[in-house]
Amino acid sequence: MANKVTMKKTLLALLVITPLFFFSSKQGRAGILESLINLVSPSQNASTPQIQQNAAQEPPVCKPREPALSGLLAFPNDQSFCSVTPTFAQANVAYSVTPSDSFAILKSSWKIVNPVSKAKNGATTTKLVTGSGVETLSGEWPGIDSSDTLVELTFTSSLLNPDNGKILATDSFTYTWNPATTCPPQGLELSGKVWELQKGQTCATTSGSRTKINPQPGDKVQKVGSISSNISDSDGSYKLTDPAITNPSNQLCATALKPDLVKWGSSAFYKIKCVDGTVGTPLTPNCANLGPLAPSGTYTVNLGFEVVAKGWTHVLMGDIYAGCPSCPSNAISQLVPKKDPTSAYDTDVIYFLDSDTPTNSPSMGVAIAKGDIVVKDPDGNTRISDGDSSNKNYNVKNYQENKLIWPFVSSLNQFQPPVGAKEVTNCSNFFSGSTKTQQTYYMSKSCFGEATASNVKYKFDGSGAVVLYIINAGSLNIKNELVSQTNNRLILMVDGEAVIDPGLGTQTPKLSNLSPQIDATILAKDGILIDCDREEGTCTGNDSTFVLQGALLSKKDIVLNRLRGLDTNEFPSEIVKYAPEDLIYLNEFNKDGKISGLHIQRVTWQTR
Amino acid sequence: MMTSASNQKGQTLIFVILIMTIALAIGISISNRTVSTVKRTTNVDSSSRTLAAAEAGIESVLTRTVTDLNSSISGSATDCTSAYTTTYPATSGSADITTKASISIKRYGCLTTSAPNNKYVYDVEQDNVLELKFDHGASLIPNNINLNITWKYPNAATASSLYLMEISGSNMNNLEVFRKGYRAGSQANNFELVLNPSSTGFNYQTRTHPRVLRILSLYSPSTVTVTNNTAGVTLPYQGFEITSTGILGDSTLTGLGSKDLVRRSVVVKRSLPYLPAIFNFALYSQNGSLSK
Repeated sequence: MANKVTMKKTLLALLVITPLFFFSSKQGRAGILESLINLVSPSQNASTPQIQQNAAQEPPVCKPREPALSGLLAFPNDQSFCSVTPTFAQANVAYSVTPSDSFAILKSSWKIVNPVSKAKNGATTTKLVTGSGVETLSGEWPGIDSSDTLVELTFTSSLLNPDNGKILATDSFTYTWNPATTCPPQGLELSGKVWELQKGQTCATTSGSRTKINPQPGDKVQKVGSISSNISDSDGSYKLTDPAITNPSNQLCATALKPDLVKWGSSAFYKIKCVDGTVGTPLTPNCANLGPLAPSGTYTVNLGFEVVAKGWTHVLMGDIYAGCPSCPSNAISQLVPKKDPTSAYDTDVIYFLDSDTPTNSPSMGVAIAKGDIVVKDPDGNTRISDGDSSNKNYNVKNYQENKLIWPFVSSLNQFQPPVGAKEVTNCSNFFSGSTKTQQTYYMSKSCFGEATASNVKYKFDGSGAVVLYIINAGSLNIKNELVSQTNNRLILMVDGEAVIDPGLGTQTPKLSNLSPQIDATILAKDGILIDCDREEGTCTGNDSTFVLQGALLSKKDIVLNRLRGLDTNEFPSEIVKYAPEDLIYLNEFNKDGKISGLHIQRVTWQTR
Repeated sequence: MMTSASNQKGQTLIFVILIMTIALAIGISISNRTVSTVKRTTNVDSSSRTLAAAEAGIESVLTRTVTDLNSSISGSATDCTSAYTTTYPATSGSADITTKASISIKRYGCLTTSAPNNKYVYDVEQDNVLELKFDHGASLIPNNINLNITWKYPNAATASSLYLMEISGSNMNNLEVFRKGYRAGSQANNFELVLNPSSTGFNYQTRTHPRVLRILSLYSPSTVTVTNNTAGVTLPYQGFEITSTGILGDSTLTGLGSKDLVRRSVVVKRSLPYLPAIFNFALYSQNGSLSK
């Protein structure tokens, strides 16, 4: 029975001890083996006289077994740190030595890891510690400069066995600042001046020569997402104290600025061009991008704005009509530059002129609008036509509603080619000389794209014009030049919207030698867009002048988007020179029964 | 009192005769009415047939091109008296066709310098144009043309203004455009005021080698009269006057006897084709603004 119990104990002991044996240290294993021996022969130990023998003999000296030395170290999780100025940063490290009455060495150090330019190893400290406790360490925080993108101070601690120097435990901790760090205000100040570039000035203009912006009630400079400051009427200055920063991108915007209305007209606007001072780059149209900001410090940000005068349109030899039903106050409204004899544009700066080289006395054109017509220069002078000085301009304001309407001629109204029009199948050769003049053709949008894939100098077979219908045009983007190589003319009927690409234009148009980018009269069912160079959807004011010889006629809007900007606004942004030969050629068109679909023929009947 | 039976003989006869006379009168009246109705119906039918024939004749001409018509008429582009005549249908058709159209085509609008053929009168609707062409024919008119232009408008309270656009020049590569506005009412627009628009009007001298003069009527319709005051210059035609006469019973045309002759005429004036007013414009937006 006793043997049976002993067997059971032995098995149990094996089950418990075997895993301990394999996962224990060498010293532990010896102890385990000893315990195992004791367990497996308890009866022997209990019944054997050896103990007694031993007791009777001189017993061996047994030192008490020392438990193994171990320890733990723990910093808290890494943290952000926002001090802009250099300072001492503390970090707490918790330690624990086991057995609790044992000693260990706590060895600590700190190091500035980033920025590299400020990298530094701090002094190493050692301390004999026992039991559990918390040690406060101190290291040097290098501060945050505006140019910094990463600042890191790292503390490292190790717990060492005093007997053999072996590491019992180790841990580290880092204080971090980067531009994404949200820091509370700590004395941040943004200040500077808001100024207006005068014509010809550059961003390098010395501060003493700068002109403050035109003051307006409500003019402000605002740190986006934070506070704002009024702009001083006296010197155009502003100051923002402790705005919230939203690193990595901070924006500073001037709001409600408006150029001198009398000088530039209500349609002109300011666009930021220069940012100088401590930080910042222009971020159009009225904001500066400051980039990451330290939570304290003084930054100077001067904002230079240029006036973007709305471009102006010059119409030569032709009339103008705007039937806008919803714009009674500005059916035709433009601001033209002041008359300048030194202008690079070699004529008077006027809105429209009847003829550039009249043999006879020059005449005017007429502007007819359903609403008001306001065309002035910065001095407030009416500049609708060359005859303004002698009060001979023709302008018919507030013309009766729905009177001068698009004619109800089937093809002209529906933009569908008339019966007899020829379909174009050889698209790439259409403009190259074999196409007969005084004929009506039609082609698809893709065919037109193929025919105008590059700049085109068109010529046709014979003198006169060609009428070309673009069917199902949708939005027809005209990207390349389309000019007449000979004296042929093109009448383009667009069943959709005609869009003139921003890339079509010239920087320095000369009235005496106009070089159009398009030689055609364009009629479009769904409007005509003279598009501008854009940045994030906004016209930049960096456009060239689009020149068309012919006419732009549409049942819907004609949008004139080009802007030349302040320095080159002496040039019109769009020039449309009426081509009277189009009318003459088209009159010849129908005489031989070649139907263009554009004509009216009046027939009166009388029965007798 | 005694009566004689013989005295009463014949009364019945008189009564019968009276009744018969009345019945005869009624019969004759009815007969006349019937004959009249038949005759009227016949006339209406004949008239309709001749009118239809005349209209068909007009339609047959309207399909012909300007070049074709002009070359059919003898004389030059300034000859508005010569006529080209033809019939429609040109050949005999089926036996049932007993009407034909006799067609005469002349140019119109050739303005001489002496009355009554020196005036050209044209109704111009509001915002439409009257286009006078000077350049068709063999050659351009070299001289400056002196015109007098008068105009009337239907409502004195709404005076119309005239806006003239002339294209001139001998070289197609260097045409000139000249514009001028005239007004009769208070709508100034810097147009030149004409005190008596319907009587004295205004004088207008074209540029050299005029090609086209377009007259736009603003604010109201206008009846425009253009008078040629240029000595020795006849202005070219502005269209065609087509007279088509449908004829029933003309033995030379229809083979029927002349006793049944019925004629109906239709006179049509067909202008030369011209472009609508929007082609005056370099920028024209029907519904949009032209603001920047």
